[in-house]
Amino acid sequence: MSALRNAKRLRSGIATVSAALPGQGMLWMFLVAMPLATTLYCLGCGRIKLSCLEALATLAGAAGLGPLPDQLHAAVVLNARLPRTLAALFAGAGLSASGAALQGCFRNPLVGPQTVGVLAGAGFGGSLMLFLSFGAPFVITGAFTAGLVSTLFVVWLARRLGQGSILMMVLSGIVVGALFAAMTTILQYLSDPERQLPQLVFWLMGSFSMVNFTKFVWMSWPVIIGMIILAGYGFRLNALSCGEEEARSLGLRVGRDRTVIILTVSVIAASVVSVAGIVGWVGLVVPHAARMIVGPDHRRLIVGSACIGGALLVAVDTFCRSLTAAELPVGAVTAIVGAPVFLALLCKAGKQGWSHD
Amino acid sequence: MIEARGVGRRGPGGIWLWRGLDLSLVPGRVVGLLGRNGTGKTTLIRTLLGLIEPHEGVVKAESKAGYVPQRSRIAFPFTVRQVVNMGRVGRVRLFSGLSAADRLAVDAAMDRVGVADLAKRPFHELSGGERQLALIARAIAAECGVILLDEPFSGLDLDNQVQTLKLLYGLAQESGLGVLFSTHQPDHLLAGSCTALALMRGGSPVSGPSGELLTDRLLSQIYQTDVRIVQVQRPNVTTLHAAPHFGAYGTPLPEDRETA
Repeated sequence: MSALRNAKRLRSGIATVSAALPGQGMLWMFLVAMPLATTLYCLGCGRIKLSCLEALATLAGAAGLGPLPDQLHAAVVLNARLPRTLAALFAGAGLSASGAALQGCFRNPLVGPQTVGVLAGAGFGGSLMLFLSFGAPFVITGAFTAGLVSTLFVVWLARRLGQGSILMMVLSGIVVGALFAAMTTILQYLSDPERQLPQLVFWLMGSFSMVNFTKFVWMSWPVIIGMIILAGYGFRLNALSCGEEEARSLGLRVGRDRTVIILTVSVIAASVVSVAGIVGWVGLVVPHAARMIVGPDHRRLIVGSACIGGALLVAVDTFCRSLTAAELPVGAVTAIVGAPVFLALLCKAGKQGWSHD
Repeated sequence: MIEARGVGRRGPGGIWLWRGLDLSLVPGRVVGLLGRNGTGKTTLIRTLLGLIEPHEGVVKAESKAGYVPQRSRIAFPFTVRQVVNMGRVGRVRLFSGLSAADRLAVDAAMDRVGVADLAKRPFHELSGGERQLALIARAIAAECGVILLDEPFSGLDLDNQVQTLKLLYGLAQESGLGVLFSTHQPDHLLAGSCTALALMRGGSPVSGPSGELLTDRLLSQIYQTDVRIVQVQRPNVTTLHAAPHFGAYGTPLPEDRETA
């Protein structure tokens, strides 16, 4: 009887939430539950396997909601897996939301955070600090600063050369990205092949293996605040995606709005690169998948992309750390997964019709 | 209301497209803009909207101006409702969505234009005429005082041209909007009482009531070809039409000869 009553309550709760999100209530419940369930499942994956319930009990015990079931489980989940899994969750969510925002901002489905040069810039900043043998806080600060500098440089170039036009913005991003990538290559060439080069190369490939709670906290605040800002700009992004003239005629201050969005994306991307290196493709591919599920309205798309991207990067990171004894680089795996998926999405979306000139 | 005084704009190479333009786009008035290709019709509309600065003269906008481009650059597969919703973007604050009043304005705009039944259809799947109507609904949803349309009839069949023209005159007369549209077809100006504004390459624009201004001579001068105004007797009304001399080419077909 009690189980029946609970099932009725659950059904009534689901109906209430579904009514609050008309038409797509169940879909949104699934989208929000997906990264949480993936995180919980992945916390149990690895050499020491735990069920979802064991992982949940360990988290509850750590939060003071019950006894800690097992010291070994607690050590594995809380110290080894939780920081990197949460970092992957936030990184995936932040990069995907950034990609969705940039695609709307540039009205171009082929751009991602790398388009504005921020990934290459942040990669150079972090590499420079590693090359100079500075510690983790300096690597984070260096990556963050260089990422922002590269973006500001791109925005300045686009304004100077093309009055902030989208084409000039994208071209400037490519040029600045190539410049920072070349400088990173020079650093690799000059670095000590025994001591610095492996560390530098592995960091640039993208990995969450070095993430601890301190680094996660460093990364999470800019990502959370950035995602909130992007979600707030969702409705304006719809109008921005119609092009500058239409957006201006609809009453938007296009230059100001675009600058805010690009700087926000830069802060998110630089924060992610600073702790996890360069994780490409997520910001490009995930918004396309999200657009097919929740539609093109950026108010939904930003949130949907964040949910899917967070779940995806947690799964990829778990795959990378669990497949072999030595970790696979996350950036390489996201590229291997992302390229064919992107191709498939392009084919499908092309048939559905991106009207684009 | 949009007020332009002594406005001029140069084209690429520094040559004047037009100069000395005086125009008042007041509530309830329809202005039809004529001119050959390359005379700067779109440039004039962008100047009046404030999207580009004039090289001389002043443009004052006392009310919000809605814009319906010749071809919308909507990049993603938004539904018609989502496109019309965009008209409210200037009124919706950051971090908030459409209010009940915004939704009412959107519904009213779609009803006014007759696209309510298309609300859930993807914009890019619509015909040219339906797209124009959706974009006009978006401009109305923005609650603008004037609406400027860049060649709204291009690519439309005759029925859609009639419907769109009827809607534009209706917006001016019933809703009190100031309406300016550019067109390559003088008939759109001769169909109703509106102000004709004709752009001459490099010269001063001429304007006046369409029935008086649009003569054989002026139209021939604008288009650099022989154009005549002809009268057509219909059951209850006599309508005026601009007839260009396209020529008489080829030889008659056998059945035409038999008929003759």
